[in-house]
Amino acid sequence: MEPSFRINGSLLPRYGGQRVIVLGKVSNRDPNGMGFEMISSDNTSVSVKLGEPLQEILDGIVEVHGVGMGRNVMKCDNFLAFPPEFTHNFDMAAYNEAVILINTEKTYWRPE
Amino acid sequence: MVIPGPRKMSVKLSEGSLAAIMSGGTVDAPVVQVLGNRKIVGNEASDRYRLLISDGVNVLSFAMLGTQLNEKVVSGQLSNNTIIRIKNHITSLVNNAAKGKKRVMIILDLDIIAKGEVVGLKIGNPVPLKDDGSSDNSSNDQPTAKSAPPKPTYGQPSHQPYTNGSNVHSTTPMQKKIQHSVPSSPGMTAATHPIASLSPYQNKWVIKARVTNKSSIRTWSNSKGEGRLFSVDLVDESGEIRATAFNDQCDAFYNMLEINKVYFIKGCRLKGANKKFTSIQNDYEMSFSNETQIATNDVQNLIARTTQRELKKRDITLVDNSNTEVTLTLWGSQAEEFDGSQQPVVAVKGGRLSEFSGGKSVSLLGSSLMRINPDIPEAHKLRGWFDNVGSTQDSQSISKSSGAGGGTSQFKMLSEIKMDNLGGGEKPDYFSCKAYVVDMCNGMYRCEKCAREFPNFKWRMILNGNIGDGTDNVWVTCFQEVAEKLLGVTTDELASLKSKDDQDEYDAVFQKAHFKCYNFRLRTKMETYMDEKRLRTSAVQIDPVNYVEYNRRMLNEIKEAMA
Repeated sequence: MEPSFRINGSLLPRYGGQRVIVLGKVSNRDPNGMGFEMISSDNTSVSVKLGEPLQEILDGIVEVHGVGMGRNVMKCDNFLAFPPEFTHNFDMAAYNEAVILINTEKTYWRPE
Repeated sequence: MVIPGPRKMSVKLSEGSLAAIMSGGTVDAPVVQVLGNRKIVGNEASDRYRLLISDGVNVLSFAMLGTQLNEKVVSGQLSNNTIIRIKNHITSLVNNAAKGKKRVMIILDLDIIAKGEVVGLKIGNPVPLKDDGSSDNSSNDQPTAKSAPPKPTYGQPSHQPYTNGSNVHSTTPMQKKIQHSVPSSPGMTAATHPIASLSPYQNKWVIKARVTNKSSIRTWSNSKGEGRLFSVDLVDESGEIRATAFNDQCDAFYNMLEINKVYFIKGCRLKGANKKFTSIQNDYEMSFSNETQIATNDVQNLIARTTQRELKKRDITLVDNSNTEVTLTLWGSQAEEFDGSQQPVVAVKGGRLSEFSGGKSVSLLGSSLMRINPDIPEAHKLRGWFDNVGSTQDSQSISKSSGAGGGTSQFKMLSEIKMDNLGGGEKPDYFSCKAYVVDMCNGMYRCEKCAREFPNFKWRMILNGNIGDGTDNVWVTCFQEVAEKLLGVTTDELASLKSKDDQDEYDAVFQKAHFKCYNFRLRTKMETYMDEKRLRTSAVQIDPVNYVEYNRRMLNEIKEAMA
């Protein structure tokens, strides 16, 4: 399995066709159940396309694993929905900073 | 005017006292008669009572009763003709649209000398107090004798006019940043106001209160703009109140106000409390304004633990031309007598320098020598520096403890402990327990230390455990409270498990505590045992890991490392 990149909404265009992980808050569900919109950690809206219709009512914070499909769109392979008691004090801003950090710093190791 | 009181006691009203008070003078504990009361229905806050009181010569209708005394009216103790001694009061200038400024008396504490039904009559033939009793129109509180006849005093002559926190001392070098609004002599404490007496109807008061809670700084941003605020909960013997500081005051007072310390506070705005947001038992809350003055300077009474002797202690802040502050602790009569109001230069010889969790302070010993305003060149130089430069500069204090004792001290990984002597890490690994019991023999327990026998004893726990983080592991000793928190059982519960001889259940308690994460506050000390030097580490405090905070801290560390 090829590695996934943990990114936010505004980094999506850079990862077209690559495996990505985006975390966000569900904002809108497609009436036919074939996708949903979410607000990613950097407050950009991401449209998530599903392969098969949703069997459940999706709400709150979800982590979507899938493939980048250009600006603000991704195809979902699978996702994780977190119950509210897990996420009530989730620090979205700090999460986003961490995402930015791992995507900007490519040379983790430096000589002393 | 003498009237028969209860049990043939005769009571004398303090004639002329009301005129004196209402023109700004001082009367010590005047005795007056209540001729009536009226309820003033306030806004959402509680009701107030306005009393009609007489001193036998004048009648005063502007006497408000502190709300904490309302009960006395409700219960009928302050019925008409009752004779009271006003033990504590203040006067206050209130803006009255029709008549300009008007002086109002607020009664804070009183004794009932004779019940109304016993007295049964109005004493003398008092006439309403003319307005010239309160003709002092200067908005500044200091009573001046400009239009009124020479300031009348009554009863015990008082050397100090009743200034009630309105002194115009200039800022003291020694207590810089704290406008020295409060006379520092302990006598001042008598003139502070109970929190329960505060209301929007009075504008001059000083409270002496302890900070019991302090919020962090919060910011807001809405259509009207943005800003920041923090609030503190203040408590004295009479009650509690919440005080909030906004923007400039937020900056000015945030670092100054510390939990558990006592402050003199004056000049805040009071408003009805919004009960939705507070559990504080007060109908009002206050906000700091740019007139607010806070002074820390305070004599504390302590009881020596060993000798039960009462000690008087006072911390004063010293600054010198290095722009550095240090706390000097005075004891006993020096604490009481020291007058910081004139910002004197002090010279100390033979003080003891002590260090507590990173903060350094100087304490006077019996053998120390302190001179006030010594006539030496250095003192004059310092005076000159202070008056010209120092009084307006911010100085750095070396007496502040480095956050230990309460907040978060420095976080370190376990491997770093080996290099220096402080620490706090994460992740306990495994534990074993050693119970520590007092001697026992047939129903009685003998304490070797006191060489006495007792019918019972209390279990104490000493828990040894190994904690580890990503870098290292270390054996730590946990005592009573920490150990109880770690195991999730009280010492007594654990002891009863042990005495039941249920080894499995007993062991399960320890098993359950394995591999949980906490923030540990540790103390390490180098100890020599059998010619071998080893670090002895004990856990002083444990807290569940606050992941949000922990995450933020790690992010910052990464950013710093990459910068």
